[in-house]
Amino acid sequence: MDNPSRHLSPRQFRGLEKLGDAYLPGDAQFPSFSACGCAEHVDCVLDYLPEDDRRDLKRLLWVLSLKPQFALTAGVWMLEKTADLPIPLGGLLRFLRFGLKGLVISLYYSGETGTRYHGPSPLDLLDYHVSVYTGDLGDAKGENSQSAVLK
Amino acid sequence: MSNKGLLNLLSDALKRPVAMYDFAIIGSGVSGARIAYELTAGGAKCVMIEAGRKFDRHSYPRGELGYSTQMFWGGGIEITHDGRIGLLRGKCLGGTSVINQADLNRFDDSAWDDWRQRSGIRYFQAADIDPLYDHLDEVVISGPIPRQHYNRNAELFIKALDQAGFSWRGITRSQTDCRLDQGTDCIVCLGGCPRDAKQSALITVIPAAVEQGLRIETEFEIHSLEHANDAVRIRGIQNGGQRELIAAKAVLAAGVLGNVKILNQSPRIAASLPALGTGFCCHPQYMMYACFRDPVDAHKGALQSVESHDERIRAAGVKFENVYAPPIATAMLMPGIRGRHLASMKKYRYMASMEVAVRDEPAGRIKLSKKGRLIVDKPLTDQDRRRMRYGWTLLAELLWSTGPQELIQCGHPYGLHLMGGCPIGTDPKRSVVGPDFRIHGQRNLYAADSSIFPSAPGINPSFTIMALSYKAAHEMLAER
Repeated sequence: MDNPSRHLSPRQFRGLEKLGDAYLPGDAQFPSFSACGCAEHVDCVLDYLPEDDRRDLKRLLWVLSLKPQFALTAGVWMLEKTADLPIPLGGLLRFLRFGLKGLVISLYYSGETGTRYHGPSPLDLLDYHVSVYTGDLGDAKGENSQSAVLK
Repeated sequence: MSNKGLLNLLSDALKRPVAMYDFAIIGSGVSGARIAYELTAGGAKCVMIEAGRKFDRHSYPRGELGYSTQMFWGGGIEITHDGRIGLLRGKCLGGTSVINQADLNRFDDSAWDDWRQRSGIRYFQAADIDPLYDHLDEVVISGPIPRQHYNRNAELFIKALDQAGFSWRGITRSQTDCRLDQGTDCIVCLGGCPRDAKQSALITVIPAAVEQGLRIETEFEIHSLEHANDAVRIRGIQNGGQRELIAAKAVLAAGVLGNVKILNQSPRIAASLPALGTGFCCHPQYMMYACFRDPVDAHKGALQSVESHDERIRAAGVKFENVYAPPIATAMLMPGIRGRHLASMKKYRYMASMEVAVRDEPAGRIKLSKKGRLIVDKPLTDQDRRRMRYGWTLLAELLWSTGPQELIQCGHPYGLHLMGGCPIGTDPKRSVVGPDFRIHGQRNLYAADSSIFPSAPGINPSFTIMALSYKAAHEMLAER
């Protein structure tokens, strides 16, 4: 597969997939983060990150790509336990947790999947289907449609 | 006069900046849009400057990921310095009015009494502000969701409050013709309403102001302000290039974080504002979920339609609302990772939720780092924690009373109502904006958005931002 990201190198992309699997390894019903291929849409997030944050994230993903999966899993588990740590260390770790978990969660529940994945997306598995009626507005796409906008 | 004298005069005249506009309005949300509308209606030549992009109902980004990254600051969410509270604010033409729930509430005496005491401003009382609310009620389309369109989440909320003997009411929302009977799900409209049912500034006052001559500049992020003789020089970046505008007067309507950042980056102005960045508050909101055996489908239909309306709950400094969140936001709120996280998310359709919003003390402070990044220091005071614990405990009791199988408590609060940072008041040492909405010591700089709030009212702020902005605009017009 060609590198799916304009921002991440293949190694950094692998780091993202490993990070995602540490948070969301999947189960019998839900695919793992890497299996569903949502990471292919990472540029949808990175395009809008401030340049400094994007640079820091790329460095971190590169480092994470070198770590064994069990170490990543232990790392994100520890990050989850930072709720009561005082600042400055607690603030830094909670900030890191927000950023990393936010990136993984945003991609996983975006409804987007990868080119090699043919199963239902996590959103489909949640049975999340919403719409806004626009059939009366005469839109080219939405005319006489019950659900012109699906998210 | 000699030729040399004439030449000098001519040279000075050429160097003197010429104001291109009577008013430059920085920000396009509830405040900026209302001010732009009133000023242009009064004949003023205005430009509106917005850092975000212009979307419309055809071009709103699809999906939660799309709108979170493209229509919110910080790529979706910003975090307080201690990493505890997530802050959300809109970054698009129309500002937060495009992505909020369009709740319109009047302040009560408790809010006005507190504001009057803190600010020393006498017009903060119902007798003075009610006429403004009355006028806006006539021109802003709003109303409650009809009872037949309440979803099960709302009905469970009502059941919980009724059983406990607490009063509730339908939320007044600025919307019309949502077509809930045709299957519209309002949760979609958190990323902009695709049928323009939500009466955001983007589709109401902004186009009306444009018809009255308003010029709009989007994707133009202001860096600093500077006085230029009797005008204001406004500098920023637009489409990657430096841009500068000159206006006779400028109105800061970029919200709490925007206004504080711009003023901090304008050192000559900030130097005379010792209270700049103080008094930040945000009504921290905590969600709690109740899981049922049968689907609740809280994400379907009218997303948010009822709220607590009870003196005892109000006196305790909290407010309850019936609300739900789309999957990404919900997943961020769910505790745990891996199997525990997935187990919770699989109940997405089976969960009801309520939130408690805390009327927090204005103890927060906003400043800039050396790199120019916003630092929001927002400690919860002892009173905030007491209120949160009261709300949290009562919320759990209320939800248990509806008969769920389990409760999921989310310990990560978020703030949607960002207030303070440029508090209004009569004392320049303790406030930033004066009773006439001028920045202290600045003849031609104004603000009237939620950044001027002297404290948290414990009530949704939009309608009062609108009312104060209306008042401010007419004071500006009277002085032209």
